[in-house]
Amino acid sequence: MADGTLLTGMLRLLNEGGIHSTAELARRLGVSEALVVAMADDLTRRGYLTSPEMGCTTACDGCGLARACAIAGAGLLTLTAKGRRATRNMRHES
Amino acid sequence: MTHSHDPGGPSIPKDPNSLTVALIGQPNVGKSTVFNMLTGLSQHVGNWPGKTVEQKTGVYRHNGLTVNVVDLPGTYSLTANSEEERIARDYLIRERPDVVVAVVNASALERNLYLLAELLCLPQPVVLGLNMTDVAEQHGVRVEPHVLAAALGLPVVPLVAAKNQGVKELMDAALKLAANPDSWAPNCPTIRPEHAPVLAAIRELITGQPLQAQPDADLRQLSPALPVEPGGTEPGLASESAWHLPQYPPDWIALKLLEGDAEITALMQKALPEERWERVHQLLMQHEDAYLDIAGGRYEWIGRMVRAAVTRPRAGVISLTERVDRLATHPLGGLALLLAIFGLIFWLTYTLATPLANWLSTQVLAALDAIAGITLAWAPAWLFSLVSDGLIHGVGTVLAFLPILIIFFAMLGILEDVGYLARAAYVMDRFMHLMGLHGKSFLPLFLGFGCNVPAVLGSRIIEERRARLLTILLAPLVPCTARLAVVAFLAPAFFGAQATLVSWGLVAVNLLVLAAVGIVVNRLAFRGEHTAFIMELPLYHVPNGRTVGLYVWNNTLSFIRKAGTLILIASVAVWALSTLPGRGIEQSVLAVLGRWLEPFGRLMGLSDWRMIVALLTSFFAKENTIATLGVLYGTGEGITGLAELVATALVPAARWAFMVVVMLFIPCLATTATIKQETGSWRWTLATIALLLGLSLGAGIAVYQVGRLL
Repeated sequence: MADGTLLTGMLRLLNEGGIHSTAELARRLGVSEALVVAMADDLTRRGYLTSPEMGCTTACDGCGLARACAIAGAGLLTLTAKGRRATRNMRHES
Repeated sequence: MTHSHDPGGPSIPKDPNSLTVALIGQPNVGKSTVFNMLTGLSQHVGNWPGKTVEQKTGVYRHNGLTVNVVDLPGTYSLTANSEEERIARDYLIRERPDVVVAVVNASALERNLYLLAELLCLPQPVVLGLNMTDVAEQHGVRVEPHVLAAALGLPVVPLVAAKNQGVKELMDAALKLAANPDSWAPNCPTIRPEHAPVLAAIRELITGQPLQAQPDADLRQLSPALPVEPGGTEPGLASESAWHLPQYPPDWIALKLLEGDAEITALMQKALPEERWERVHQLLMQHEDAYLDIAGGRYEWIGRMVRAAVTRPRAGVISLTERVDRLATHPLGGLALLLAIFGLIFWLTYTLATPLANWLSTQVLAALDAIAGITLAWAPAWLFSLVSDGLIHGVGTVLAFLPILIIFFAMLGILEDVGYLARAAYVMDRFMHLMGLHGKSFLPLFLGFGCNVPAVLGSRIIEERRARLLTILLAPLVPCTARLAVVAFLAPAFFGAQATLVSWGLVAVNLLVLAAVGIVVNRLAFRGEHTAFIMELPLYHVPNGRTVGLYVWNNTLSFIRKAGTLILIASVAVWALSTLPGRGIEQSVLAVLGRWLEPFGRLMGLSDWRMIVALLTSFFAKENTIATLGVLYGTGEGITGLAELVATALVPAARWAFMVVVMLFIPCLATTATIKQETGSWRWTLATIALLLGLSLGAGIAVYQVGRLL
């Protein structure tokens, strides 16, 4: 964490794209996983992250992996437009 | 000692033998239990003035001192996100209790300390009640209260409120602090120095007075809470400014404005002259994301406190999860494990389920055939043929396939319940990331392994239409369970002992094709845009029999429903077309259609028209391939017998080609209908079918032609 705070550091890591587990973010930020989860919740309340709507409620009836949707959906968060804008701004600043 | 602050008037001194203590904490931390233990029967329950939120106050008497205890509504922070949070913070700021008792859950300190970080920005002294220490111990979390107290610079009292342990000590600490307010010197979270000038500028704008004694605006000198003399009014408030400010400390207002607090922003917009507000607003716009730094600073502070006072001995399930995840979530090791698990699933399916399916199809179908022969002895030949060839050998063959599906679903259910499927999604994304493909298209595509329909529906998470359409285009390329079932049916007869390896290879090749097309889509549609997800991987645990059972039951039921509707109709249709006009199967309508397509099929080595028809009927449901083969090839010795009969009709290269086409063929009816629904375009739906038809047939021809040469 050479510059920025934990929250900006977390958004920087997210800026790499792809799926990041909370355990991986915790390891890379040098904090506990519980703190990463708390920060992710905070960023969600603030509109930087959101839970993606998979929209498979009706289709799941005939789906062999219906509950995988719940797995993917339950603990999953993604950047919102506000979150993406913030990471872009950080890119420009750095 | 205590001061009431009526917004409209000066502070009124109260009884020196009376104190006010406010209890604050997040919901479900045991705050109300502490309140009940302290106040017993002397409680008053009403509503907060003008609100529907319950207000609970009570009295605690101690050595002739009357302590008024106020149970504030549960709140996560002092940002007015809800009515409860607004009430709690307004009470603290306007009523200024003598001491604030913050109750936190010791097993979730990281989540709970944020509220404390905000409380320390206010002038009231705080005592920390470390509740649920017993629960924390059970979760393997050890908190050292003395170390935490030293780190925070405030009294910390361990509690088990539910057992009335530590509650009296908590109140003693609160009263001691109230009696010695000068000893209040907490270790407050700091804000990054670059925000100090902005805070000072905002403060100056809202008070109309320059900030004194802050020339260099070093934030460590700039206390977020303006020091307030007991009994005095804050400098720079309404009485001293040219305009009426809400009754909050100006530094706190400046901080909340910078954090983007909606309520304070609205209040200040109303309170300040337009020109002043415009200047404040401009400053706020230039520091739109200052919240990230301010809150980030608080989280760093929390991290330091937790590191100092909390230990989590790595034992039990947490340790197991960490050790397994070292391999399971490793970019390469995790992928190897995933492929090994896929291989194991196929191997177990072939070893356990295929003999069972064979038994069902030989014994049960033969018995059903015999029953049909006896009960339909009176009936015309065509009716017997419909029941025997159309229903028993069509739908029946598919139903005899149930053991294979049950084993397959059971293994998926176990993997999911153990907590592995989330890792599979994670590691697959890492793999695609290595190949340069990462984006929102991954998640819907992952869902496609169960069924392509939710994969198409899941593409709704992609906002941009072009990217969404291209993801929908990719979805049918994901090998769904129905297609894997067809592979599981044919592979043992086609490839003998190598069936597991070939099935595994087919899935791997399918994924590589998907990744290759995905990379192109990512370049075209997302233009390298980074999309990120955070996933909380669950702890591994022993699968629950009931959960796995329900999973298998629901999916099997859904399959039987499909067999009773779509597959039944398609089987009857195939039987009818293979029977009409009544001159034998080789002269039937279906044979004519199949033979018409035969020249094309020969390019893939499919010289038997029945194989082409079996492929075509998979449009209704992928499993129809099996039902159609059952109807057209008639009886064999069980499922393996039927598959062997099919295998004899094909040379080895053609078998490979047929399997590749099955894996990449056009989407089924349900998926097609969903594509139409989601894209709202027939043109796009037909384009998807055309593309997949071209891709699958092209791949089939290539595999056969290359295979012939080897």
